[in-house]
Parts: sequence; structure tokens; C-alpha cells
Amino acid sequence: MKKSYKFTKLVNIGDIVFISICFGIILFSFFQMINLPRGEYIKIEDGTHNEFVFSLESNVEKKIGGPLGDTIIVIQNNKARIQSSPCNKKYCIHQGWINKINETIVCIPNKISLSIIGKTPSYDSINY
Amino acid sequence: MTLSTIKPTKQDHQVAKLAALATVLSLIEFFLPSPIPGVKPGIANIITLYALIKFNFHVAFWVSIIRVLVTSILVGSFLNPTFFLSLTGALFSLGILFLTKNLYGKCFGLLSLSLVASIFHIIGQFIIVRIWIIPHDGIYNLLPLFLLSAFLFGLVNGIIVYRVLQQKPSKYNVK
Repeated sequence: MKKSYKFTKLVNIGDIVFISICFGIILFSFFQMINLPRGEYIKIEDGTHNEFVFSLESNVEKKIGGPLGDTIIVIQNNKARIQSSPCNKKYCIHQGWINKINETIVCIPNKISLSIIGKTPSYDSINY
Repeated sequence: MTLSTIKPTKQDHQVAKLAALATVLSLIEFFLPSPIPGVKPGIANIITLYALIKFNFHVAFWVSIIRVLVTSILVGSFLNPTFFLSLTGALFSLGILFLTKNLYGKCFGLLSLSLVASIFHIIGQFIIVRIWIIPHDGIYNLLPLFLLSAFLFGLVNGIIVYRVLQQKPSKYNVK
């Protein structure tokens, strides 16, 4: 049997070059993750399964009624947020602006959720 | 009684021993808790790399494939998506090892070999996940994290293989 076992040092010149290239690519991909994919549409759902879809390019101020009162959703400059909400803790307002695919804001007390979607319909996850 | 016509060669025995070792490592890894689903150290690939360096690509290939099959049968995930994920990962890393194995010893050492195998392992799995399991662009957000884990565990596994290869032969070694 042919023995292809050659003993080399642990770290060679090629290793250093290759490892730094890989590390650079990974850093670059982390940087890309912060910048990229913007969503196209925003889907708003209320507690009675009504769905509203708006383009993120529109400038809309939408009032949606929930069990506690009216929530005001603002879409401008390709991003969306909840401007005011009748709920107690205001988590949904503090979450601020969203614009990336699959980002969501949920207001559980007032049963309202916003989610950013891309051009194609998507799955949240698939169980098997 | 019928006579067996298959004569196992010495290499077959080596493949069997190494595959058994790799299966045990795989099982240990299966029961280890993982911080994020999908991030695993991949310690069974130590055996694949060891087989490639110590013997040849043929042995490494069969060790890796048998390891995937036997582990999936033992943990009950045979023909599940999990099984296809690990099979694709194994095939991708074997493919890139086949292409790059001749570079070993010429400027490149074990670290590069281990790193390229682990990175292609995760890239192969990612392609399958994107096409089949979660067909949505949102999962690209996870890619940097998985690449980073492949990078770190690839380096660690490379160092471990280096240390294993440095061991002097003893009666416990696979011969």
C-alpha cells in the first residue's frame, strides 16, 4: 500500500495565507449581513386575521384597531415602525424602525403584528 | 454452509476500524448540547482527515460515508432531512479534499486541509437547506455565523489531527 503520509510543520506559509483569506471572507460576510437584504413589502396583521400589505416605498400612516384601541403604524423612507400604541409596556414602539426581510414587530396586548417580506412568499420554518 | 467469496483486504479492515471510531465520535457529538442548532464541532471529521493523511483518499471516502450511514441508523435519522444534510456535508468536504489533497506538503499543511474541508461541509449543507428545507433568502443571515464556527472548529480539528499524527505507534493504534 502506498504511503502518502508526509510529515510537515503545523503552520506553513500557505496555511497563514489561506487562513487569513478565509478570515477576511468571514469578516466581509458579517459586514454584508449588517447591510443587506432589504424587504419590499410590509404585512400588517390584526387579531381578526385581517391582512394589509403595503409597499415599503409608500408613505403611509395607518391606524389599526385592536382590543385595546388604535395602533398607529408609520411607513416612510423604506422603513416602518409603530408610532403609538395603547398597550402598557410599549415594547413595540421601542423596537423602532424595521426594513430587513423577516424582521417583525409584534404587539401582543393589542394583537397586531408587522413583518417585512421580500418579493416571493416565504416560509417561517418547516416542521417535519 | 456456503463459503464466503468476499475476501476482505487489509485496507477493508482499516476502513472498518476507522469508521467505527468515527461513528463513536459522531455519536458523542450527537448527545452533546449545542448552543445554536447546526453549530457542531464535527469531531468525526478528525478521523476522515487522519485516514486521508495516513492512508489515502479511498479509505477516507469510505470512512466518511460509512460513518454518516451508521450514525444515522443508530440515532434514527436515516433518510430524514438531517441525514441528507450530513451526507451532503460529507460529500462536499470529501470533494474538496479530493481536489486539494495534492497540495498537502507543498506550502500547505493540515490546517488548510482541515479548514477547507469544514468550510465546504457547511457550504454544501447551506445549499441543501436553501434549496430544500428552508427555501427563503432569510437564511443567508445565518451564513456568517456558520462560516465562523466552521472556521474555528476547522482550525481546532486540524490541530488535533496534527497531534494525533505525531503520536508514536503503539499497540492501540490502527495499523
